[in-house]
Amino acid sequence: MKTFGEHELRTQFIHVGERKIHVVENPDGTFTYRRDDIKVKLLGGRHLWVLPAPAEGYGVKFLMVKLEERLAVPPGETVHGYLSAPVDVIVKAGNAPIDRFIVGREKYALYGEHAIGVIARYHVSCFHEKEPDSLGVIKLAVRNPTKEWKLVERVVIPIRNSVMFYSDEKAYYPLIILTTKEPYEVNNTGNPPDGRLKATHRAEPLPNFRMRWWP
Amino acid sequence: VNTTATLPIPFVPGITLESLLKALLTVVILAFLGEVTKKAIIRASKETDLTWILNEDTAELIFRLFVLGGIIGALYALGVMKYTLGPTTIGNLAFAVGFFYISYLIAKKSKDYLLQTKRGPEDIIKAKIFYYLFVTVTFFLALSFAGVMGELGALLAAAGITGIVLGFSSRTVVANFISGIFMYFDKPLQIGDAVQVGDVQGVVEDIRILSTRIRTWDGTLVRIPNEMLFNSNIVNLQRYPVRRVDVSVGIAYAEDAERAIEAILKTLDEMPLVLAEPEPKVYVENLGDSSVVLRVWAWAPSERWFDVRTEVVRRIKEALDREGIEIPFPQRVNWFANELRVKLEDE
Repeated sequence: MKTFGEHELRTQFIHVGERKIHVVENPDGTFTYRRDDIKVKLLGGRHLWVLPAPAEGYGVKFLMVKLEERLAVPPGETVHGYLSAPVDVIVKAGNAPIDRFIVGREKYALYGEHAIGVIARYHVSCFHEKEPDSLGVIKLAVRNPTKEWKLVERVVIPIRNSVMFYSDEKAYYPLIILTTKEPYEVNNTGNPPDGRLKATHRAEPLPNFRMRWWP
Repeated sequence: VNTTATLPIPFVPGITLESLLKALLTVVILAFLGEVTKKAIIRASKETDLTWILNEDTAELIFRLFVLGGIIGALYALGVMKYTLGPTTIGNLAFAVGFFYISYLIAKKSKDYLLQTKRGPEDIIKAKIFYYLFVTVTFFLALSFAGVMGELGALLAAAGITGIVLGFSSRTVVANFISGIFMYFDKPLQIGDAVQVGDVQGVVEDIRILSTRIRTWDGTLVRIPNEMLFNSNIVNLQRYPVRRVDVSVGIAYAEDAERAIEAILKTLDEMPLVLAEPEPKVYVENLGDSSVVLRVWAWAPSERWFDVRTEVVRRIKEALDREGIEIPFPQRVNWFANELRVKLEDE
């Protein structure tokens, strides 16, 4: 069943994770968009866009994915894997966003110290070798350029204004590269994890993020 | 021979018709030039991106500059400027007034410009400090141009007693001013911070040179003199990114405390804005008179603290009700030293 992308305006349900969007055609030929208590009357147009958005939630800049099991990365090696990830969903009529909502569990955490930390969206994930069966996915490459084994317990990703990619059923964050030289550095590359995916908008480079508190 | 040129004006000694015409012409020409320049600037402002300098305010400022120049020129033409007024001339006074007026307009415009481009709390204070410094310096420069600085000093010295009286009466003003400057460097609070000062709690609306204004939660404005603020304990409620919600819950002695703790932790885990890290804590705090008191610590984003607190209390009540865990009323068990005899009377 198609979740993300362009949806023709007709009476239908669109399922996004556990959430449900209802589009209803009115007798006068217009359409009404409904989701929970949100109602928008669409006076024209033929399509509706349901797109993934970074999990900014109430307005945070970072996503912190805590690994269920810590990773020990051998010196000089690069390991590739996948993480499950929360996503927000944005619904557009033409270019205008008419709704934005959170899919799945919403949780936040403090990344860093009480006095100078930042609030980040929080998610716990395993490090999967294959793509997990979750709505949101992060493809992660962990590079260890040092001569020592390195431990990775969490990945903190800058997500504000990040491009997202999508297939019909799933949402993907750009390829994330974690380099374990100290301090650990996270690069939201802005590149698609898979060349067949569509982008939500043209990617603009995000600055590398140095994890001040690691691993 | 043009006899009209030296024709004296009746009742105005020393002013001729020629000088009057010159004065009028000077004002009219400079006002006209000012108007033309003003219109040119306004026209240019509509075709440029440099609107921070080319705008209606600047045009008005330039127009006033021309008019002021015209008036001073006219007074010179009339010969009024050479008249002495105490230790100085009217010319010096007029120049000083004009200089201070233009400087004031420039200072005001610069402050507005700084506030337009940068709206951070620090920028607001910097802009104000710049404004007051600029106006103060130009005020003394204007006094110097007016040629009254020396006399002003002598006057102040002569008015020693008045000075002392003034000094005492302005002590509070000076103290507030100095406290305002100290607070700028100490930074105990900034505009937009949620603070508590004594009994007053609210959001800092403005930090002025003599006082600070706080908008309380119930929508009233409280003005606190800076000296008082500087000497108070200031509690900044949102300085750090996270703030802890503390709640005490009493459960009946008959209930299983461990089960209650688990139910509360599960509830906190379900609340998005109760942070996963730092982890919430629930522990038995006290064995009270009527209940076993559990203490709940839950961290929340500082700006959402109030919402989280109210939600935590509500949800804990719901969770304990759902689990059938009793939150007891205060109760007392009375023991009697001797056997209690109850007498029943027939009606």
